[in-house]
Amino acid sequence: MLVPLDTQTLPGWPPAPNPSALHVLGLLVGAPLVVILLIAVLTRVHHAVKGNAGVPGVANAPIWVNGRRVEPSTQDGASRQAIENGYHAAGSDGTETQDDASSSEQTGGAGARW
Amino acid sequence: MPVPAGEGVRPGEARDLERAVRVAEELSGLTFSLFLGESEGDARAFAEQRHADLAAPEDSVLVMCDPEHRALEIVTGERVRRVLDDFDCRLAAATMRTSFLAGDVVGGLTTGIQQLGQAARRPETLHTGRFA
Repeated sequence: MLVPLDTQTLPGWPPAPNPSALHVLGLLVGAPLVVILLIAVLTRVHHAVKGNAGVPGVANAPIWVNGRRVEPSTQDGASRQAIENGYHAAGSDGTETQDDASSSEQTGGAGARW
Repeated sequence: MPVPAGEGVRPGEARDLERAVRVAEELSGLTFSLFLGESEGDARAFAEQRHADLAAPEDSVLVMCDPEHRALEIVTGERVRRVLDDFDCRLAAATMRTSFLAGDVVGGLTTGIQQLGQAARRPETLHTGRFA
Protein backbone atom coordinates (compact mmCIF):
# COMPACT_ATOMS: atom_id res chain seq x y z
CA MET A 1 0.00 0.00 0.00
CA LEU A 2 1.32 3.42 -0.92
CA VAL A 3 1.24 6.06 1.76
CA PRO A 4 1.51 9.69 0.73
CA LEU A 5 4.45 11.43 2.39
CA ASP A 6 2.56 14.56 3.35
CA THR A 7 0.32 12.64 5.75
CA GLN A 8 1.44 12.24 9.32
CA THR A 9 -0.17 8.89 9.99
CA LEU A 10 -1.83 6.14 8.05
CA PRO A 11 -5.34 6.74 6.81
CA GLY A 12 -7.82 6.12 9.57
CA TRP A 13 -5.27 6.54 12.34
CA PRO A 14 -5.53 9.37 14.84
CA PRO A 15 -3.18 12.29 14.21
CA ALA A 16 0.18 11.90 15.94
CA PRO A 17 0.93 14.56 18.59
CA ASN A 18 3.99 16.74 18.01
CA PRO A 19 6.74 15.83 20.53
CA SER A 20 8.03 18.60 22.70
CA ALA A 21 11.63 19.83 22.52
CA LEU A 22 12.36 18.06 25.79
CA HIS A 23 11.18 14.78 24.36
CA VAL A 24 13.33 15.18 21.26
CA LEU A 25 16.34 16.06 23.37
CA GLY A 26 15.83 13.10 25.61
CA LEU A 27 15.48 10.76 22.69
CA LEU A 28 18.48 12.01 20.71
CA VAL A 29 20.89 12.83 23.55
CA GLY A 30 19.62 11.28 26.76
CA ALA A 31 19.03 7.76 25.50
CA PRO A 32 22.50 7.38 23.86
CA LEU A 33 24.09 8.74 27.04
CA VAL A 34 22.26 6.19 29.13
CA VAL A 35 23.43 3.39 26.82
CA ILE A 36 27.05 4.65 26.92
CA LEU A 37 27.01 4.88 30.71
CA LEU A 38 25.54 1.40 30.95
CA ILE A 39 28.30 -0.06 28.78
CA ALA A 40 30.98 1.80 30.78
CA VAL A 41 29.60 0.49 34.07
CA LEU A 42 29.39 -3.06 32.71
CA THR A 43 33.01 -2.85 31.51
CA ARG A 44 34.23 -1.64 34.89
CA VAL A 45 32.32 -4.34 36.69
CA HIS A 46 33.76 -6.95 34.33
CA HIS A 47 37.33 -5.79 35.00
CA ALA A 48 36.69 -5.69 38.72
CA VAL A 49 35.37 -9.24 38.69
CA LYS A 50 37.98 -10.66 36.33
CA GLY A 51 40.86 -8.83 37.97
CA ASN A 52 43.72 -7.74 35.74
CA ALA A 53 43.24 -10.46 33.18
CA GLY A 54 43.57 -8.11 30.24
CA VAL A 55 46.38 -6.01 31.64
CA PRO A 56 50.00 -7.02 31.33
CA GLY A 57 50.90 -8.44 34.72
CA VAL A 58 54.59 -7.64 34.68
CA ALA A 59 54.68 -4.65 32.40
CA ASN A 60 58.17 -3.16 32.23
CA ALA A 61 59.32 -5.25 35.20
CA PRO A 62 62.37 -7.45 34.64
CA ILE A 63 61.63 -11.14 34.34
CA TRP A 64 64.10 -13.55 35.87
CA VAL A 65 63.85 -17.24 35.20
CA ASN A 66 66.35 -19.25 37.25
CA GLY A 67 68.22 -16.20 38.34
CA ARG A 68 68.50 -13.53 40.94
CA ARG A 69 66.19 -10.60 41.00
CA VAL A 70 67.80 -7.33 40.01
CA GLU A 71 67.02 -4.41 42.23
CA PRO A 72 68.51 -1.36 40.55
CA SER A 73 67.47 0.93 43.37
CA THR A 74 69.34 -1.15 45.94
CA GLN A 75 72.53 -1.59 43.95
CA ASP A 76 75.33 0.38 45.41
CA GLY A 77 77.15 2.92 43.35
CA ALA A 78 80.38 0.90 43.12
CA SER A 79 78.65 -2.14 41.65
CA ARG A 80 76.72 -0.02 39.23
CA GLN A 81 79.89 1.74 38.14
CA ALA A 82 81.62 -1.63 37.80
CA ILE A 83 78.90 -2.86 35.48
CA GLU A 84 79.09 0.27 33.38
CA ASN A 85 82.85 -0.03 33.12
CA GLY A 86 82.62 -3.64 32.10
CA TYR A 87 84.23 -4.95 35.23
CA HIS A 88 83.12 -7.78 37.39
CA ALA A 89 81.51 -7.17 40.72
CA ALA A 90 83.41 -4.85 42.91
CA GLY A 91 84.15 -5.98 46.43
CA SER A 92 82.62 -4.44 49.44
CA ASP A 93 85.55 -2.08 49.73
CA GLY A 94 85.11 -1.04 46.12
CA THR A 95 88.13 -2.92 44.81
CA GLU A 96 87.86 -4.64 41.46
CA THR A 97 88.06 -8.39 41.78
CA GLN A 98 88.31 -9.40 38.15
CA ASP A 99 88.78 -7.51 34.97
CA ASP A 100 86.80 -7.77 31.78
CA ALA A 101 89.51 -9.41 29.73
CA SER A 102 89.82 -12.46 31.95
CA SER A 103 86.04 -12.63 32.26
CA SER A 104 85.59 -12.74 28.51
CA GLU A 105 88.15 -15.52 28.29
CA GLN A 106 86.17 -17.64 30.71
CA THR A 107 82.73 -16.99 29.34
CA GLY A 108 81.45 -17.49 25.84
CA GLY A 109 78.27 -16.83 23.98
CA ALA A 110 77.01 -14.40 21.43
CA GLY A 111 75.14 -11.15 21.12
CA ALA A 112 72.78 -9.52 18.70
CA ARG A 113 71.06 -6.21 18.16
CA TRP A 114 67.88 -5.60 16.25
CA MET B 1 49.41 -12.43 20.89
CA PRO B 2 53.04 -11.49 20.22
CA VAL B 3 54.63 -8.96 22.53
CA PRO B 4 56.25 -6.10 20.66
CA ALA B 5 59.57 -4.84 21.85
CA GLY B 6 59.33 -2.60 24.86
CA GLU B 7 55.99 -3.82 26.13
CA GLY B 8 55.19 -6.00 29.10
CA VAL B 9 54.84 -9.74 29.18
CA ARG B 10 51.55 -11.34 30.07
CA PRO B 11 51.44 -14.02 32.75
CA GLY B 12 50.72 -16.72 30.18
CA GLU B 13 53.76 -15.72 28.18
CA ALA B 14 55.92 -15.72 31.29
CA ARG B 15 54.85 -19.31 31.84
CA ASP B 16 55.83 -20.11 28.25
CA LEU B 17 59.30 -18.73 28.94
CA GLU B 18 59.64 -20.76 32.12
CA ARG B 19 58.57 -23.85 30.24
CA ALA B 20 61.13 -23.19 27.51
CA VAL B 21 63.88 -22.86 30.11
CA ARG B 22 62.77 -26.07 31.79
CA VAL B 23 62.72 -27.98 28.50
CA ALA B 24 66.18 -26.68 27.56
CA GLU B 25 67.53 -27.77 30.93
CA GLU B 26 66.02 -31.23 30.58
CA LEU B 27 67.47 -31.58 27.09
CA SER B 28 70.96 -30.43 27.91
CA GLY B 29 71.46 -31.03 31.60
CA LEU B 30 72.74 -27.48 31.90
CA THR B 31 71.31 -24.63 33.93
CA PHE B 32 69.55 -22.03 31.85
CA SER B 33 68.65 -18.58 33.10
CA LEU B 34 66.72 -15.87 31.39
CA PHE B 35 66.73 -12.18 32.10
CA LEU B 36 64.14 -10.16 30.23
CA GLY B 37 64.30 -6.51 31.13
CA GLU B 38 66.25 -3.32 30.85
CA SER B 39 70.00 -3.57 31.19
CA GLU B 40 72.20 -0.96 32.77
CA GLY B 41 75.17 0.36 30.90
CA ASP B 42 76.87 -1.92 28.41
CA ALA B 43 74.59 -4.86 27.63
CA ARG B 44 77.38 -7.44 27.41
CA ALA B 45 78.97 -6.33 30.65
CA PHE B 46 75.60 -6.31 32.35
CA ALA B 47 74.85 -9.82 31.09
CA GLU B 48 78.23 -11.12 32.22
CA GLN B 49 77.66 -9.57 35.62
CA ARG B 50 74.26 -11.24 35.94
CA HIS B 51 75.83 -14.51 34.78
CA ALA B 52 78.60 -14.21 37.36
CA ASP B 53 75.96 -13.68 40.06
CA LEU B 54 74.33 -17.04 39.32
CA ALA B 55 74.78 -19.92 41.73
CA ALA B 56 76.98 -21.97 39.36
CA PRO B 57 78.08 -19.68 36.54
CA GLU B 58 80.52 -22.17 35.00
CA ASP B 59 77.62 -24.59 34.37
CA SER B 60 75.06 -21.96 33.41
CA VAL B 61 73.77 -20.33 30.28
CA LEU B 62 72.30 -16.88 30.61
CA VAL B 63 70.08 -15.37 27.95
CA MET B 64 69.60 -11.66 28.46
CA CYS B 65 67.14 -9.73 26.35
CA ASP B 66 66.66 -6.00 26.65
CA PRO B 67 63.71 -5.02 24.43
CA GLU B 68 64.10 -1.39 25.43
CA HIS B 69 67.60 -1.14 23.96
CA ARG B 70 67.01 -3.97 21.47
CA ALA B 71 69.93 -5.95 22.81
CA LEU B 72 70.33 -9.69 23.15
CA GLU B 73 73.22 -11.39 24.92
CA ILE B 74 73.91 -15.07 25.48
CA VAL B 75 76.56 -15.81 28.11
CA THR B 76 77.89 -19.33 28.59
CA GLY B 77 80.03 -20.55 31.46
CA GLU B 78 83.46 -22.06 31.20
CA ARG B 79 82.31 -25.67 31.34
CA VAL B 80 79.22 -24.99 29.24
CA ARG B 81 81.43 -23.93 26.34
CA ARG B 82 82.55 -27.53 25.91
CA VAL B 83 79.06 -28.60 24.86
CA LEU B 84 77.65 -25.30 23.63
CA ASP B 85 80.13 -23.33 21.58
CA ASP B 86 79.89 -19.77 20.40
CA PHE B 87 78.80 -20.82 16.93
CA ASP B 88 75.68 -22.49 18.34
CA CYS B 89 75.02 -19.37 20.36
CA ARG B 90 75.32 -17.20 17.28
CA LEU B 91 72.86 -19.42 15.44
CA ALA B 92 70.35 -19.19 18.28
CA ALA B 93 70.89 -15.43 18.48
CA ALA B 94 70.16 -15.13 14.77
CA THR B 95 66.96 -17.13 15.21
CA MET B 96 65.85 -14.96 18.09
CA ARG B 97 66.75 -11.79 16.25
CA THR B 98 64.50 -12.78 13.36
CA SER B 99 61.53 -13.08 15.69
CA PHE B 100 62.45 -9.89 17.51
CA LEU B 101 62.46 -8.02 14.23
CA ALA B 102 58.96 -9.32 13.61
CA GLY B 103 57.96 -7.93 17.01
CA ASP B 104 57.66 -11.26 18.79
CA VAL B 105 60.03 -11.11 21.76
CA VAL B 106 58.54 -13.94 23.78
CA GLY B 107 58.26 -16.24 20.77
CA GLY B 108 61.85 -15.52 19.79
CA LEU B 109 63.14 -16.22 23.27
CA THR B 110 61.14 -19.42 23.53
CA THR B 111 62.45 -20.71 20.23
CA GLY B 112 66.01 -19.58 20.87
CA ILE B 113 66.26 -21.09 24.33
CA GLN B 114 64.95 -24.40 23.09
CA GLN B 115 67.42 -24.24 20.21
CA LEU B 116 70.24 -23.72 22.69
CA GLY B 117 69.02 -26.69 24.69
CA GLN B 118 68.92 -28.84 21.58
CA ALA B 119 72.40 -27.73 20.54
CA ALA B 120 73.83 -28.53 23.96
CA ARG B 121 72.16 -31.93 24.11
CA ARG B 122 74.78 -34.61 24.61
CA PRO B 123 74.36 -37.55 22.26
CA GLU B 124 73.76 -40.82 24.04
CA THR B 125 76.75 -43.10 23.74
CA LEU B 126 76.29 -46.73 24.58
CA HIS B 127 79.92 -47.58 25.13
CA THR B 128 80.69 -44.93 27.72
CA GLY B 129 79.80 -45.84 31.24
CA ARG B 130 79.04 -49.47 30.54
CA PHE B 131 82.52 -50.83 30.92
CA ALA B 132 83.99 -48.03 32.91
